[in-house]
Amino acid sequence: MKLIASQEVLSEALQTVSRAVAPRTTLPVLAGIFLKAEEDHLQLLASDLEMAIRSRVAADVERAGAVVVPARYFAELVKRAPAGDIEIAVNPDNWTVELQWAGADYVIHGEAPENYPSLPFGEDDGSCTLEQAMLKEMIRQTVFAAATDEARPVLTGCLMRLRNGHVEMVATDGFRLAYRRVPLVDDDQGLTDSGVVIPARALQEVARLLGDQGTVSISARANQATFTVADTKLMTRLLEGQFPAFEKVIPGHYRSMMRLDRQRFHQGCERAALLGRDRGMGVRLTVQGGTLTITGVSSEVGRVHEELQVELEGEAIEITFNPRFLLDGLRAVAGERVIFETTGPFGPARMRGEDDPDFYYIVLPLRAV
Amino acid sequence: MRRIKVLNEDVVRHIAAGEVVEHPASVVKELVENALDAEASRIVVEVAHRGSWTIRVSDNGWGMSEEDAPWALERHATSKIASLEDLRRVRTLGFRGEALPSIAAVSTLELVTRTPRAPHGTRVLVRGGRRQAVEPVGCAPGTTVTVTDLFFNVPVRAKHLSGDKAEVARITAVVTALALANPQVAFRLSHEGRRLLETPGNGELLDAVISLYGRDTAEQLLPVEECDEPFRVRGLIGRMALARSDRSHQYFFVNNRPVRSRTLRTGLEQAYATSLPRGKYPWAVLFVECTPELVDVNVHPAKQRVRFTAEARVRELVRRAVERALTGARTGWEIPKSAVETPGVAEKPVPYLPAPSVSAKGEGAHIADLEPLWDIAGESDVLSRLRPLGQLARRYIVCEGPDGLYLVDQHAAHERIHFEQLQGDPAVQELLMPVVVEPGPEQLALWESHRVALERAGFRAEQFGPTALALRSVPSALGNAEPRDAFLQLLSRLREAGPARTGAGEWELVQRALAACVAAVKSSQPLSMEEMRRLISSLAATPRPWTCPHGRPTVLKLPQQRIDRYFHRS
Repeated sequence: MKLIASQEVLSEALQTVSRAVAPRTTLPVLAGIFLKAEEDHLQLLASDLEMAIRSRVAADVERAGAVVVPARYFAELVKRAPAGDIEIAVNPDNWTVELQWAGADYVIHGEAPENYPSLPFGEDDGSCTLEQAMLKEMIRQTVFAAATDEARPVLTGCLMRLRNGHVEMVATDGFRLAYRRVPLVDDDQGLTDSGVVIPARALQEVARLLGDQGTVSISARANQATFTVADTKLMTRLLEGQFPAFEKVIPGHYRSMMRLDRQRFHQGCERAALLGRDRGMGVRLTVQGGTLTITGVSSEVGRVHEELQVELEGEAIEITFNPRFLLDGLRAVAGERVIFETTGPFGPARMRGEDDPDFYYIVLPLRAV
Repeated sequence: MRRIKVLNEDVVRHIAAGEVVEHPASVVKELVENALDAEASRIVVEVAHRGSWTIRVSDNGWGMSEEDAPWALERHATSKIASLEDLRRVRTLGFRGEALPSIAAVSTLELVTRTPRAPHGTRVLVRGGRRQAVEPVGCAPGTTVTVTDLFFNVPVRAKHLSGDKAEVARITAVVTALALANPQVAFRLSHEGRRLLETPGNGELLDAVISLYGRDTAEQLLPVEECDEPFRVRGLIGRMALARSDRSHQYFFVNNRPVRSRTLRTGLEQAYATSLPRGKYPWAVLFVECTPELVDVNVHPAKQRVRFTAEARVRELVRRAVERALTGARTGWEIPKSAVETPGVAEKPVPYLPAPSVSAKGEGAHIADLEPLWDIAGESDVLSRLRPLGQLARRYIVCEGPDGLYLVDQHAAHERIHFEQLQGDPAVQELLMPVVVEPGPEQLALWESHRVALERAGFRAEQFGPTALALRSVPSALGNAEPRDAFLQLLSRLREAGPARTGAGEWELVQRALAACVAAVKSSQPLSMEEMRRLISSLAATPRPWTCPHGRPTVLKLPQQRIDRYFHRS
């Protein structure tokens, strides 16, 4: 294998695929990046067997071939090389990789390409298409609610499914739930109505690939999903198991509804949470007439009392929350004003943006003392 | 012909120790083992506690003839071995001929038995070791032993029995293990008429597990089978999701005898070593089979411990078997063989580093240099003057402080802090969706007995089918730790805490267990300097900062002058 590629382009692609390199692995070859030169491009691939990222860059290929290079040294070296062309040549007898640019000549020990796992990227599967910016926002608004505890694996991911010309994404850790949907740009059977559960970690990586322009196509098959953004593909293993039937727990009817300024509400809760930080203290919301009172008591630190103007419809509210769950929701809601609905002091509450029918956040209260 | 003979002196002397009937569970164990040895296909255990314990074990096995029955209650009378040579080849569960007479010595024991061919059965009644009656009686083939007034003549032992609830939990554990060991036998255990467990007895281990643990658990199991003649290991192991915070769900059987074995446990846990976090133990039911000559079951009077002639080989076999089952389970992408079998890597022997041997004395001398800070008057502000320097082994915070170096045990400190916070009624987080938990029969019984206190602590649950619970809320102090794990951990801590209590004692027990649970969730985490400072200041704010709620020290001090002396500066 022998080729010439641009340092800037190569370095960027290496940074992208490096995200999938297994940091600690029982399979040493996975600490490497698989390179394959053919025709007019160089393909780069890294994987930890949970997730794989593949990218390609234009290259002047003199001799086709493949090799596995140690990710850390190779990527760092290319990153620190001066801008301009880099020549890469592989000796297939001992798999040494030689990098050359003006005045410099580096040799890195690589590995035989046959040792690298074969990863099925599902090239010919159908896919559906979304706006990149939309998917990025969708991930931001839901992924935080996924469980971090591995005990129920299916909850460490987001459900992604097709409904009425929209793609829906849902995450829950059993304490709260975030839902968002976005309209499809194009659908060629990339997703199904029953949907798939994508690991949160993979979605966070997908979000990094996404920009503000252009589209992304998604294809979920059998036990894996592939996201394609321009020349880069991210493939992830799907989480097995049944995602909870979340619609059942979403209340259809609310006893009270208040509308208020999102930012003020957020700041008030943040301040109230500060005092109870070490104690798991709840933040109490009391709404009567047009006033929301936020209170919290910590016997050691002190006391919180803050009042905000709200518009209340329905019954007066008195309810306590884990402030962290409240704040997570307020960060996810878009728009200036937020609608907050409750079903009673111990029942689920819903939070959403006033002008945003496509997002909601369900949170369960604390049964406080 | 008479099948039961008195052992000769020679044999008797070679038997490790006299049978000890410690509590009702050991009675149940002995009686069920006898039933199994009689090749019963159905065993019913009924227990009740009204003032004293009543235990009845009925089976449909061989039964005993009119001639044999009275002999069964003589010491060292057994049908299972006759000579020393036989002792080396023991395959039956009971063999010392001690069980029935030992039980009969401390209770009223009624033995009703009939062989299938005999026209009628025999009833033998013994009270306090004295034969009261031997008479013919009409009954079904098989044996029914009814033990009443247990420990009536040993009031001290009766007094030492833990509470009703703890004993039932212990009995449940015993029967669970025997039912798993014998899937070909239908077991039924009831307590005061309430069914605690039941297995189908169709010979399928998996079906036995389903009936004891439920279908969700069974779906997380992987079959194990491996052979290294003359040793064979088979059974079921749990995927990572089934890992528990204690070892109460590890069952080992050697030639179908429930055993505790460090060798087997180590083999099992080594196979999981890299995939389970610290403090998590795999779920397993493992059977080891070998010719009886290769295993010594006579190490322990209760026959619970065994020794193999080739310990290392058995451990390695178990490790390999489990590892294979685990790797096979990973429905992974295709990995070329060349990548896995890099020569020189797979074959390289694991370097063996002997643990530094520390004599008890030497260790004591070092510990003496570190002083636990108990409740030292006038030093209560020591904590607020500690300056964290860093973390040791993710478990201890190393601090500079007045006149020396201090070590703070992260876990113990968390435990104390949470224990104080949980005083009064803790805040409870409602769950969006109920979490279904299958705790296993023993812990299900434990939940039921502590139900009210657990609910007050925040774990509100309802029975959900015969083997499962639906958890509806959790203590808010747990943060967003997995409810199922935390709940099971709390149950296992309650189990370890021993005899169940009632009233204020029970509430304190639950609180202590919960504090430990919360602390366990939060300990062994890397801490930032800010988190360390906050932990110490929270500890300083508690009224009794120097110990955890279980009485272990939270802070140790290494005085400056000692350090100076070590460096020869004094």
